[in-house]
Amino acid sequence: MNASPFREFLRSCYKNLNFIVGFIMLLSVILTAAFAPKIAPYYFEGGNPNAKFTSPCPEYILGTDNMGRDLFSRIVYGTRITLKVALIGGTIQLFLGVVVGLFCGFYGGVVDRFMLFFADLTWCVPGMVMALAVVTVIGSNLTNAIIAIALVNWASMARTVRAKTMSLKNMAFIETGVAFGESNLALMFRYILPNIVPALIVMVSMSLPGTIMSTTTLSFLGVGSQPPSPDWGLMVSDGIKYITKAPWLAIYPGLALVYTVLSFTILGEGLRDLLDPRMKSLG
Amino acid sequence: MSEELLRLENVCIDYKVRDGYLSAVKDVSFHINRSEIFAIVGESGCGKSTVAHSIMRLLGKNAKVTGSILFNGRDLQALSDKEITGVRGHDIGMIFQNPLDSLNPVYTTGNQVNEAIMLDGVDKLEGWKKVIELYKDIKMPDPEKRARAFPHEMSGGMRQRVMIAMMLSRNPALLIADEPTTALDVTIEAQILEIISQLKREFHTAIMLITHNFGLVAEVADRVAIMYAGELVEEGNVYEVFAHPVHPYTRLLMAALPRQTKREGRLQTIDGTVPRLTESKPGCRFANRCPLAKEICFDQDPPVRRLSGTHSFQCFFAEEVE
Amino acid sequence: MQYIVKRLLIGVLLVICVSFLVFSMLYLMPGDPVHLMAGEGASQERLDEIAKQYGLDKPLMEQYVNWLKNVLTRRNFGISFKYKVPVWDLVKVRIPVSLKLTLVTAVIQYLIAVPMGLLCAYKKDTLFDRLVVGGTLVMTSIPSFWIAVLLMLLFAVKFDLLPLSGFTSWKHYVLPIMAGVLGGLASTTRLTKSEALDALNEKYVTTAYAKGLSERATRIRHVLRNSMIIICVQISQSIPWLISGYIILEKIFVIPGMGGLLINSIIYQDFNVVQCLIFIISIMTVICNILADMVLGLLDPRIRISTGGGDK
Repeated sequence: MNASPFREFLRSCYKNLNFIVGFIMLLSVILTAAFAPKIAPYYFEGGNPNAKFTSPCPEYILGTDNMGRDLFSRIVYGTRITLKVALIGGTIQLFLGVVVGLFCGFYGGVVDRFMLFFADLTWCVPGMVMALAVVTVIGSNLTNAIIAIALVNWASMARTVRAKTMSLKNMAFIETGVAFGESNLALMFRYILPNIVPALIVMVSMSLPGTIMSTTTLSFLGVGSQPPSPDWGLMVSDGIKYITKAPWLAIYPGLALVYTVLSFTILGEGLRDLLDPRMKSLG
Repeated sequence: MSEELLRLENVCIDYKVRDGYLSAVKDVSFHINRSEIFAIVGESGCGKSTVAHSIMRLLGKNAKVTGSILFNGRDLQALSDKEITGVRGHDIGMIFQNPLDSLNPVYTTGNQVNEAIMLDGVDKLEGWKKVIELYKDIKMPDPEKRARAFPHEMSGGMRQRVMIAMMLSRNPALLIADEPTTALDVTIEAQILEIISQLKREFHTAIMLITHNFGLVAEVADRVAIMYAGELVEEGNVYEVFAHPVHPYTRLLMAALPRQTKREGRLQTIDGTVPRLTESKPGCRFANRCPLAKEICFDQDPPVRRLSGTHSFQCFFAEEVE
Repeated sequence: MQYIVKRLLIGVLLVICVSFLVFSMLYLMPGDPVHLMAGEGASQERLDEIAKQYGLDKPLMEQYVNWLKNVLTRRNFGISFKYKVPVWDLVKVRIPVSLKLTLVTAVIQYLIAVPMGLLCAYKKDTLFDRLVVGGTLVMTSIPSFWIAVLLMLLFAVKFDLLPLSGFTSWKHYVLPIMAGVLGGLASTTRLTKSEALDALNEKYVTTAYAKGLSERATRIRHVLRNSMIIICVQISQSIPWLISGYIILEKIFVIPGMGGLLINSIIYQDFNVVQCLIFIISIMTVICNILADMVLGLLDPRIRISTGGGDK
């Protein structure tokens, strides 16, 4: 590994405003999640029954909810949930997308057709509807919501990996590999995969905002995280009940969510400019 | 006969890129007379296409053009957007390298030619008749049917004919042909060349032919200019330049041509690579590949020197080889 | 024509596959619908009776074929466990509500987004473009339910101009439609911009300029016309996605549409209703996809030829 291309990359990162802004925003989210108990003045459960619906004040910066719980503390702990969604959801999608995409693109033929038909099935029903159906079957909780969204979203990643694999498959270095007697698995994972890593990074970072929003939406609809979880979607959904009485309950968790999603979006834009400028933003 | 139609004077074209400017064309001057075929030859990326686009003001916003481009005495650079639109197609037509990309896939070819004709206030039906006429002029087989066909239903040669018909439709005095046959088969190339020569004979259209193919130049051109890395290195009458190439680059190019007479001879190649033109520092751009290069070549721009009234070149030492 | 028939057949196949998939998923569910219907502490005889009554004791394949037969011949989707009425009666009144909202939203959204995207492409790198690009970046990061919350706060709570929820007068339409439009505005604008930019860089645009067409004429006849191909396809394909977007909005604004029913049925595990709604939505999706193919064929002669059954 030569150091200079990497330093060149760092230099272009430094010049890319989107990357820097997104990175700093995301870093702030990660740090908040890591030090949640230090930052939050209260625990996210068990409120003060005498301080229900307190509007924002020095003691409760963002006010309290219907059970007298400190909204700020709950939002701080909610960061952990959102990052968990991004991490697990992203990993599942990446894994399915890479494995299926590589196999389809590499082998083509019947395997490919079968998988494409399966992917078409997920196109046939809008993602949110499909996710709702999956959650119905496997039950309403956060982990299941993450799985449901990942099951719906992996297909688009698999398509891109498949297309890239197909275009790489016929290149000279693959033929060299074949001539050296490399196994198909080695060709896929040691020859092709490293070449699509930049595209993968871009794809994942650009699909994460959607993953977070969809999963949070499931929680919002009541089929994701269950109370008393400080999931931002759930908090907004509870907040709507008291929207005339305590509007802050619906505003601030949403604002935190938008900030987090935006950090991923901006970082994704930056990474795309850096790694794969020809790739279009996901429609 | 040799009335001047187009004159470029000290034209420099710089592209704004990430870190500064890329000097694509440096200090190019030449002229084209009425009803003559003037060829510009050079390797790909030498700036010949950029020069062609700059005449029509078709370069992107990142291009900066200095110097003057006079057409019939009018400075095209100084015209307003509306005026240059009036010049395009009407006074100067242009055809491009890839005839598939150059036609809009969603309209019939006749429709696209008619679009140009209708700019002169001709009504649609009248224009359509003219389209058929034009198709006959350029020897399009089955013109009525072809006019109703979409670009993807035609061969490359036919599409290039459509482009010629389109650009011919408003009788421009000058037609710029930017590598018109590069994307076509050799047999089709001959047909297109025939049409181009016919244009000159019958319609007295002047043609600026941009190509990297010396054979083509010998066949049809009256005068030729050779470009290297954005500089015009030699210019003159085709017979003079072919008989007595002077500039070392031209000579090497000629030597690199495969000749039928020298069957045994190896194809000669030129050592070195084209320099990256990020800064317009003085000096001959061919110096790093030139067999005659001396120190002065790297530090100073070579002078333009004349061999005859119709033959000039840019070099310090070229004649010493004579 | 042949092509459309082929697409239609594939579409039917897809709908059947999806409905079977959903059916078997619900069949394999851990929660037993028989228990749900019988209520707490019902006797075993009662359970068997209910299972028999609804045909729930038969094997999966037979149940599915029966279900499909009933659906196709009598539009009988079974009985809603929760409301104890035929599912179709429940669903059929909700379809027009969702469709109306969706179509109005789509029209308004595209009327705003397409011109905005085109303008961005034409005025690339100007202040306007940068503002819109930045705006859409932020907009794509806002989940639709929070947009709805903000609109509610602004128009219903703060200024008291519009009702919060319900569905009785025209005023009730305004907030949901506004939320729906804002939800999809950003991605449509971005798509239009990137399509128009692609078209602007095409060689045929240079040709149009070279033959003497004015900038305006070129932009309308060549850039707009060609970028409309993908945009129109996108419009027809986006309808089902808008419907799914309305699941959330219908729940928030308490609108009696398909989405609100779907989410409630999922929460109450009212499977017949869920199955029926997914069936209908998948049919709509397939129809819209075929529609998109037809639009594409109509707008792009290259497709028209290849779908006409002829070879190149």
